[in-house]
Amino acid sequence: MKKYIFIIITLLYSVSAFSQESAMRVSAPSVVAVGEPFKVEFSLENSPTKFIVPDFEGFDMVAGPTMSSSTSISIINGKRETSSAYIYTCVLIAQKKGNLFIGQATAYFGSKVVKSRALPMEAVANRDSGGSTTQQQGGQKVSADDILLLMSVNKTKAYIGEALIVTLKLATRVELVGVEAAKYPSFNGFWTQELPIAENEPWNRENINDKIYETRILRKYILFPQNSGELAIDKMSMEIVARIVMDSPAQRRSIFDDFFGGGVSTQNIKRKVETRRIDIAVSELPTNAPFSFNGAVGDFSINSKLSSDMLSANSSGNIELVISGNGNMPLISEPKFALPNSFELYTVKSQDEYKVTSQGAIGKKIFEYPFIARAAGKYEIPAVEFSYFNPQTKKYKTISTKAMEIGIAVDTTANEEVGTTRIFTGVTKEELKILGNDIRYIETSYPEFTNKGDFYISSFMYFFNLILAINAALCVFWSLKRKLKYNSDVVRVRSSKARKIAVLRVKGAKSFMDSGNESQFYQATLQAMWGYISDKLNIELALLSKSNVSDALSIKGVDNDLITKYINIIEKCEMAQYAPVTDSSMSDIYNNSIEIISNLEDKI
Amino acid sequence: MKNLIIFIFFSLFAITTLQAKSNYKEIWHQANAAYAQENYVKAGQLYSSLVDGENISSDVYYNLGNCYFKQDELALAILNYNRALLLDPSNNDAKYNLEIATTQTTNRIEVLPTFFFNDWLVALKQSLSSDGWAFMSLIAVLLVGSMYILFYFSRKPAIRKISFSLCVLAVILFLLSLGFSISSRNNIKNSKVAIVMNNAVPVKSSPSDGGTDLFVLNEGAKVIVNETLGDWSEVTIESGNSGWLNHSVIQYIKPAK
Repeated sequence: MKKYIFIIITLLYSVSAFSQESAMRVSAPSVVAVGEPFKVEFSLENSPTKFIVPDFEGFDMVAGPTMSSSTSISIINGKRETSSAYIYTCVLIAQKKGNLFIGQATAYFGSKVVKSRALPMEAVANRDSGGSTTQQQGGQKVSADDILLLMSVNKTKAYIGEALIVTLKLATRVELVGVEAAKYPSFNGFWTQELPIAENEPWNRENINDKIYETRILRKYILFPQNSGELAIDKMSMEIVARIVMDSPAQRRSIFDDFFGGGVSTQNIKRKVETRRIDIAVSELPTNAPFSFNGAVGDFSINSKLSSDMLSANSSGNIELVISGNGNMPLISEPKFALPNSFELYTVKSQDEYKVTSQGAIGKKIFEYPFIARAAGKYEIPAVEFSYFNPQTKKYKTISTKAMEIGIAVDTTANEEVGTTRIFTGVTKEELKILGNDIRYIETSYPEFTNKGDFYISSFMYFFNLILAINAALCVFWSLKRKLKYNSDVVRVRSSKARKIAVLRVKGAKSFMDSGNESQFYQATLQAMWGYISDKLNIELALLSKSNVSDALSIKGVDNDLITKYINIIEKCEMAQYAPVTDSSMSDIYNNSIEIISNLEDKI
Repeated sequence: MKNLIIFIFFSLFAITTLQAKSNYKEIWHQANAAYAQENYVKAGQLYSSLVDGENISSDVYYNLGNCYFKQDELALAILNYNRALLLDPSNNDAKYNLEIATTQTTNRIEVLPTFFFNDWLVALKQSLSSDGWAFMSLIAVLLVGSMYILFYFSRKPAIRKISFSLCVLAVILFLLSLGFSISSRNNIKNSKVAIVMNNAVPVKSSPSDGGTDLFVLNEGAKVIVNETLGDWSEVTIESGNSGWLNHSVIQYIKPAK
């Protein structure tokens, strides 16, 4: 106490106040023992014109209020900063145990009034030894509850991915020297991150089981459960070295120590302290997760931005997606963008801009999607859905960005290439993507039905048709063959029919003879004679002449006498057509021609 | 002559389109509509009513298989796909769906490798049904005839050469298609292939409940029935293993008479 007063006195000088006004802060221990003097400080940044201490009901003010002020001036890189503090200090003693209040102090800055907030305080029954005054407990052993290692979790029931804060606290009623062999827990089944704690975390006073302890936070962790079920946070243990004062001169004191009045004998005692195991019930997320759910738990908002909504082909662009909020930020992976086909997407970069605090991971996570568009045109970058589970409302929520329009201009640089060389940018071919596997659809056209056990091959119809087909082929064959044979026999047929035809013609000529039509008779006879030879020798009628007929006949072995007779008949008939014939009658010609034909028939 | 050819063709086509019941078409369309509305149970009943009589059709069995597949009746689906394939080995949809259904069965049976030439022959044989090959053989006969006529009556050596070789080929085609047709028919008539309908069926070393369990078959497994003794059948699976199982757990893919 003397020390404080000394400090206060040494700092006691006034500094002119800035016109700036500010709030008033109160600091006091949260737990005190009845009859124990303690200090309440009201601190202001500026000097008030008037300061009224509150009515300390339930307390006795043993000293104060005393005012101290301090000013610090710092010059960093030529920048001068001044800060000052005006502190009013009162020393109080609680009259009785129970919950008490330190009332509001009032400070006047001219006409302006600033009030401090009322501060609740707990007074506990007077104890045999004070935590801060370890001297009083000299000679005593360190009892089991003098040093406690406490681990606390802000909730014991959580969903997968919901943030948990674990606080490790050391509470002591004896003077501590050091810590040895600290074994921090391994958080199996959790994603863990240690929260930063101020280097010189202050000691607080706290009432634990009606005893006042000096407490200090050792570590703070943020945990995100990864599995469902009962997860345990292991015990943590450490060895604490406490110093106790030996009251009785059990050990021989040095004469010099006695002489200088000091040298209270102290002893270091090692003590192992342990936390209790904490079980945490982690419940599975509800099953009706949306399609885009990817493990995000908390409360988020999403926003996307294009680096530019007009780009030229083959140049790169950037989509920025910002997920901001409070939740399991470190575990959020990037949502998938369904970019148009001609866009090539490159590796997504993510940037963390969140702080892990005891309220969870708060801030934002920025995903950058670099892409290159290969083809000109107007495209739409579709909205991206992001789903998360909100443990407060116990519901999934899906949020999405807005769809964005992007125009890709024709790549002008490609045409600026020198001469005729043009660069064709490679197109990456993709394999056909098989998205799912399902059976093919039913057959819908009306099918053909067959009788059970009926096979065409063994049916009568098959044999019938087979025989029909063979017969058809044979019929075609035979008929073709016969026709060919007939065609090859046509000369013989003609020659065999020659006499018949010739006789018929001559007989026709006879009818002209009977009617006395001379010219018609000779013409018919001539035709019969020529026709007979033409058929017989297979020579075209138009090609026949007296000379080639006689040649052909002599080759066939007809004697000259008969040939001459034949030629004679022809000549007579030809002549008779144009001049009246006197030396032979029509009947002679008729008889001769029949005779010649029958003679020729014998020869050839 | 012409009349004869027309008559032949008429009779060829007349055999393939069998007189079906008049209400078959109606049932068929109702079943298709039910399937499209995902009413697979109703569609399945309608399709089965089409084939439970004397008439059968590969496509109906295929659609019936689809209905069972959608109802997660894996063994029945596999049975019906196999039936569709038995009647028409060239039914590619049935082949594809059977493959998908088979991937979902529990048993993965290693199929014994066969000689590659045999595989080719089987693949060729299965490219047409028995009736298809029979029809092909008739066409081959006509081809033999026409090629022989061309060879016999043509005077140009080039045409004679070509037509002669085509004629020989047509003779081979005729013999091959005749053989395939008869063989496919026999395959169907004498089919001993059956599908296991139950899960976890123990296959025993002897035809009695006391026999040693040799291996376990699951639904959809394909077995060949070698012989039957009382309630028990000796079966061989595709990997070559064989044993006895209760006859009630298997169904022949050959539609029952």
